[in-house]
Amino acid sequence: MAKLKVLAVCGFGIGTSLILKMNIEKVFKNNGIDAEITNTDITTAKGMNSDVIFTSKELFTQLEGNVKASLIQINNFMSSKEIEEKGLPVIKKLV
Amino acid sequence: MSKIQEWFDEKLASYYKKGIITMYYLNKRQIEIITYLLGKRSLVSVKEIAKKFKVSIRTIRYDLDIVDNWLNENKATLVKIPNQGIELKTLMDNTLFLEKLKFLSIENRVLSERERIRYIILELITSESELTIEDISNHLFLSRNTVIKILKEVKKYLQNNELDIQKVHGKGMKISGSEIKKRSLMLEIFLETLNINNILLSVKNRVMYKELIELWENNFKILSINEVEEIFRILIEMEKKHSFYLTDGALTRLVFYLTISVNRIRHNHIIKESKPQIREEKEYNIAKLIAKELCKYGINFVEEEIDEIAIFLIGSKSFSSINDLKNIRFSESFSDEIIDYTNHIIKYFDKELKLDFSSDLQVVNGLALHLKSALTRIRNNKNIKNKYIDSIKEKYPIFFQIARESVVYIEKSYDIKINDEEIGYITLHLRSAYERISSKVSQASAIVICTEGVSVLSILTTRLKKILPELNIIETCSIYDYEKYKQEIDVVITTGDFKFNNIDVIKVSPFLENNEIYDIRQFIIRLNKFKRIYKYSKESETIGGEVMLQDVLNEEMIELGVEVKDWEEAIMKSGKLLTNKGFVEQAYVENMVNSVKDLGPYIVIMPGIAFAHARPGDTVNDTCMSMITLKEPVNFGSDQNDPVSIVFAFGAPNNKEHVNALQDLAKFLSVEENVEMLKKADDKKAILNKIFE
Repeated sequence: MAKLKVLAVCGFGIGTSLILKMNIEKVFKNNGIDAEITNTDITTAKGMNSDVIFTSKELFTQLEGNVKASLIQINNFMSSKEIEEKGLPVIKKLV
Repeated sequence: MSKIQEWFDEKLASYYKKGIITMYYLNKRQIEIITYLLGKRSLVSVKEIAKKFKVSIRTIRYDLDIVDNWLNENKATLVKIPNQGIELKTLMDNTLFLEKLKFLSIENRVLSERERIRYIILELITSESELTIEDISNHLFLSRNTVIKILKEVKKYLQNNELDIQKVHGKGMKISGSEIKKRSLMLEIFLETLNINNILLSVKNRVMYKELIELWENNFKILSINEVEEIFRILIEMEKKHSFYLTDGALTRLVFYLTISVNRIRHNHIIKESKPQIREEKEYNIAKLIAKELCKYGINFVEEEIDEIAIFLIGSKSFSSINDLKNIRFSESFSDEIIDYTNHIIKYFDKELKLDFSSDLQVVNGLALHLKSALTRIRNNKNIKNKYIDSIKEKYPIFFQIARESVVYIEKSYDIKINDEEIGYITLHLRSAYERISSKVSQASAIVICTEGVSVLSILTTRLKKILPELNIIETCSIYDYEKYKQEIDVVITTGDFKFNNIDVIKVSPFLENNEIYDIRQFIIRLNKFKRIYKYSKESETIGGEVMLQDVLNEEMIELGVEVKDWEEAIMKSGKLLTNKGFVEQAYVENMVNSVKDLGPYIVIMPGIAFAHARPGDTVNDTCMSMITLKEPVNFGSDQNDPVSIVFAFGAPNNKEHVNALQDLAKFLSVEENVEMLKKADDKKAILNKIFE
């Protein structure tokens, strides 16, 4: 299988998604998950192929049904715990 | 279901039991029950079946009696275990059994309306003389009234296919219309009834499918299995000899078309329309070869017939060039078996080499085509010569090894050994794909923007594609659509006069002069050098701009205990610190507010903290950041993270420069006590000291 493609998505792909991406990287590193993590904006995310998408509640509803990837909703972008709890079960199924 | 019907079924069942009726008519539901039980393969209660088919338990019991009788005649039976349920046990192979069900000769079951229409049409087309209503009713075991009723539907069906029923006074009916239409309708009817995979299987394995073949010949008299087999053989040989390829689906269609044609020509039903324009196509030559081959069997294909075969070849997407490979619809064109093996090999390579071969249609389809013929060879113990095998092993030892491992799956399922020669070919397929994939990495992606309209745009793109294949043109679009693609592209090629802040724009004339081509080439070379370095540094360290948090956040950019009435004002006030210094335009601040209105309060990324920002670009003059703490927290409308008491605002002219600064800040905020400290702080210096500690 190709490397897992993970997207961190926000409105413009430069601010909050970057922060989210950093925290996902941290969580993945701690758990030994090898993945390609990209931060991007919502429009681009709709057109990109990926396996998992992390995003906020508001954008979650916009992405739902528009992408094939598994969607994970994160409320606190700074919380490694939340990313771990919501993300890892999904990731483990894919790897 | 109506009471009368139920009563009727009941009566019928009791007659069966008493042996009054011996022929087993299965109705649609009864056939479905068999299919259902076959799929279950475990005990099912009668109640469950009744629920599934939405009829009473009693009805199901009658159905099961009839079903059991029919099954017993077909080497199967219902095993009943009291208080537990029933199970269907068959002696023959499941696929065959299912196919047989579909094939139930027409005397043996109640036909659906659609099937009746099909059979009547086949009767009418294949009959050499006119048929009366009585003829049809006798052939198909239908009452006269039923036939009259259905004939209306038959007429409609025919008219949809540009054919019609013609009445000949005193004789009966026949079908009028062109021979081409008649044949294509016959073909459709056959293919609707038969499953392509099963046809292939039955041709390959006659002994096992003997029964199926008998049923087939009984139902479709003009499809003699011998002829079908012969034509299959001829075509497969020709495929090899003249190196054209047909997918399994297309091959089956062609075989059937030719079998029908041979039959029709024998009865002097010949195509009359000639289509000389087709004779330029490469398919015409293949059509001629096919006709020549069939000529040996005493069938004379006239010019018009050959034209039609050529059209058929074109229509069934025969392909012989690499470009065509990309256009094959994989899942429709190959048997499940081939698809399974192809996927297995490709996925294996994906995994071993950490590359994405799966999305390269050229290799997927190419390999599938290869496996199709390779498997025939392997199964028939025909060895293929591969004179390059030694150099393949020597040049691509890793690929060869992976290919070797990837076919173990096939070897196991067939209990065969695949020799090095064959593996060498698989190696070559994947190796060439590898070159394609890796060369893609060293390309540049571009969009072409043209301000002069579509015709100029198409001249330019055609030239670009031809002269600069290393330039991957993602899209041609208007300047307004640029935003959509900016993440994917390296460069914008345009005839217009404009610049973007964060991407290279190369201006060219619509006819692409030599010096312009040179410019683009130089750009691609530079870019790929940069990409290699970038890729390298990306792996060791996250790449970002030069700007550090210290550079942007200072006392002037912080305001504490700000009074605001709502979230909008909070963003405006944090933005004001940025506009004061001319870092951003007023429009940018408005965009920050609008983005929340458009996309929701997602900028509240953690409890109590909002990150106000908008799209990078023209309205930002310099990377910047501000922070305000609110006297009274306000709600942004975020369910989880409201109320907000700290608002950061930042601006970035592009999507790289601010990265380091933002990362530093995020690191700081990830420590809970730091956040608490920020919320309570009343001294800017103390905050800055803490942040830059």
